[in-house]
Amino acid sequence: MNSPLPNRFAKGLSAAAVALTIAFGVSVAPVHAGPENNTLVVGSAWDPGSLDPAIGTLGSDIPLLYPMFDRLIGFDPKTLDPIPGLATSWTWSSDRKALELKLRQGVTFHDGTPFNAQAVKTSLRYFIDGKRNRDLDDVTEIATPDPYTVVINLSKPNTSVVGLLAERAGMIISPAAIEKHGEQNLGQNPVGTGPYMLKVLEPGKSVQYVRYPGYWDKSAAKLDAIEFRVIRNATSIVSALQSGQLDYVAQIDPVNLPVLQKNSRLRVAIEPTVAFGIINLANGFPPLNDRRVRRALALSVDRQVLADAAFGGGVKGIPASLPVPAGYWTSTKDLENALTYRPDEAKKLLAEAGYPDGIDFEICVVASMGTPLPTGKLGDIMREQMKASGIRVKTVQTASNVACSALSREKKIHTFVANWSGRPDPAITYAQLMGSETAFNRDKGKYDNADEIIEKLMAAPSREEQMPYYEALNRIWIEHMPLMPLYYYVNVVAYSTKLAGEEPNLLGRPYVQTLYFKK
Amino acid sequence: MMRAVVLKRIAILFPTALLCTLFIFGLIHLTPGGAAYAVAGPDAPPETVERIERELGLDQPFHIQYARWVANVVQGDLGRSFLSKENVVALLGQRWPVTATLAAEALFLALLVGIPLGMYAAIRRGTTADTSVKTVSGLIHALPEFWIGMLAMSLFALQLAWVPATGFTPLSAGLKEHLLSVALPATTLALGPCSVIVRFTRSAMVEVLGSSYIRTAWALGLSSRQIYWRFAFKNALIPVVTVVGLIAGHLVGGAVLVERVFAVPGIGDLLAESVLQKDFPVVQGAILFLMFGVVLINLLVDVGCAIFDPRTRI
Repeated sequence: MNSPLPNRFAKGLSAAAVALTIAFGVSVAPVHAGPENNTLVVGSAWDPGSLDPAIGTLGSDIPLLYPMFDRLIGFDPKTLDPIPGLATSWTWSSDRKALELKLRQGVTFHDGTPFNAQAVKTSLRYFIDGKRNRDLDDVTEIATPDPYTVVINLSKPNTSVVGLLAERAGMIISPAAIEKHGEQNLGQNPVGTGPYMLKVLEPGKSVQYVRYPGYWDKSAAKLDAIEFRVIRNATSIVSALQSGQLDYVAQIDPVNLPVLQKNSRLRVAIEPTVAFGIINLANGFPPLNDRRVRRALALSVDRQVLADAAFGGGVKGIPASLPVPAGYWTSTKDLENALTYRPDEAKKLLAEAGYPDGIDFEICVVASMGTPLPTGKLGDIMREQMKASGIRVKTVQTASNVACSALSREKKIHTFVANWSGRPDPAITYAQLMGSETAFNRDKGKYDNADEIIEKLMAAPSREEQMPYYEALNRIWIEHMPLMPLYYYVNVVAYSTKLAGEEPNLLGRPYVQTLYFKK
Repeated sequence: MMRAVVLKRIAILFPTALLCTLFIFGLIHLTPGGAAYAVAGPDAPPETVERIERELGLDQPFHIQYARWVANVVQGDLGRSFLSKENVVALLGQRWPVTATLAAEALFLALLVGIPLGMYAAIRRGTTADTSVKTVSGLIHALPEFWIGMLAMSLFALQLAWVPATGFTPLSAGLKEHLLSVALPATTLALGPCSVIVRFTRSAMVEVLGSSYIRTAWALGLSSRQIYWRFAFKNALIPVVTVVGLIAGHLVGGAVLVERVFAVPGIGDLLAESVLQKDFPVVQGAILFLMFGVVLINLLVDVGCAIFDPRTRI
């Protein structure tokens, strides 16, 4: 059997290996879309849901909307203070029920339609009538006294409308595009007034923009094009960044920090945000309809351990007690660490509430998803921590947040892990999380006199006048625990050293149109 | 006879498609959370969710929803994605060439390496070389694809910078760019099938080489080239061709993971995302498409077997 053929096979295999090496193994410079053609390539872990600001609901879509849609009101990314956008100025009526906006002139939409008061009215009306986002439910009438003035009338005082117009609601869509495409097709054909316009939308692959030559601020757009490249795997997106395929990635899992910080071609920034992780509580049925039980849950979790597990060694985890981080202007100093781990106190509270033997309850988690900490792991840690208080946790594994949310609506689970992404105006955060009539409060639970305080807060004209209301709400928050806060998020951003213009953003959302390549 | 094989396969195809889609439809309905929730978003009031359910026909009983879907499919309409509103046929049209290219290249690679290695091991049966081939192929078969993919990415894309870490460049953009972009995903996808082909080729060759007609051929003094290639290999090829049909299913399953790891925008990636979002027009469309693909490959395999082995034509 010792024929010469096996050797020939061996030679053949070697030849094939060489051929494959030549075919596949040719050394190439990393594919940098960057300075050579002035195109910024951003890595995105999320596929676009809908590029229609009024109909889309996903928070992950907002960074994709920013380049295309100017908002009526902007916000300072470092402080979240409102700044002029498509509206150059705004004034409230004395009863805080009418907001007058003076609009910027000389602005056109990407399709050539002129921007004016009528366009704003059409866009806002389209947003309200879509009924997907409830931000402008208080609006009763939109008046256009002259071509560049809009008056938004409200059913009750609501100063947070300014902050809401710095979000989705304020992204003004071309009225011609609304008429032409409607709710069904506008998501694939979005038309705004922003510095970049949509060139290619390939779901699952990329969203590409080119500079809008007619943009009103000629100095704003320094890039020729921007591409958001979809890479859903968290490890792969970091690999693509390291290999030079991407120029910029935000919201990176902090466990990657040591690797990224060693890479001399990358700059890494750790940016604080007002976003935080929460456990959504179903407060409409026992045992969580009792505030003592909710408070017991909150005291049964060692947030520092959770935060450290979430962020690893590279970032100091910040446990959350209030709906805003410590030091933020609406925070209350003596409550900033109110939710320390106190299992004995939790036990007493449960006994007072009529559960001396503890309680059983479920946390819905998404098996392998969640950043910075997969929610499944988070559930495991909490289960162990809560044992000391007599709380027996069962984790319910599902495939997606949609399933957890639905189970909660159907009252089949007590809690699920979620995020609160923060809002430009903190009043929106407090109102949404603590008001009894908001979509986030599905069971319409009332937390002491929070509704009345929120109403007064919305009518208060200045920060000084708002402060006592925030303090009162913070105290109610700690006593009633409408939701259970876990830890505040930091935004880990890494980008090519060839880039400049990165601005930390307290909302933690990539705002990439300020970036440019250094000369 | 060949015609009968083809007709039989086609006849089986339609009930298989019905059962398959009904099963998936049922599974999606059994899992908690409706697509209307995903479309409406977390802020939407119950009346909006109900309106969307009505618009999408999700308020209808299960059998009506399924019957409507089948009626539309028969007319060539796979519907629109609930979330992106994209036409499902258009979505599949964008994605299938990517998955088909990747799977075909992975299969080619698996055959290119697997058949010679299997033959080599069989010819060197019982030697260290044979044991090494068996051990390595067994090991590779046992390792999960995503893990191998991650390691390969780390070594070849990050450390050596030979190939890009992620993405897919179509063939139309240039052969070199295309080969570089598929090098890692295609190789990762090929590893599992390659180890199966090695083992099948080896065992088939061992069996054939031990048969009396091969002994006779050696006794007649025929050259080793003639014996291995002309007599042994051709006969050993039948089980190998059959296994290609089984591998087709493996490639589809593997594509879901590999496309995810390497950010390849194919049908596997689309399917994974749509399942999570409960976007069932897309899930159903993708499943239907993949199923037809696998059945078509199996049909080609049957035809191939009939060509190689006249006995199967009877």
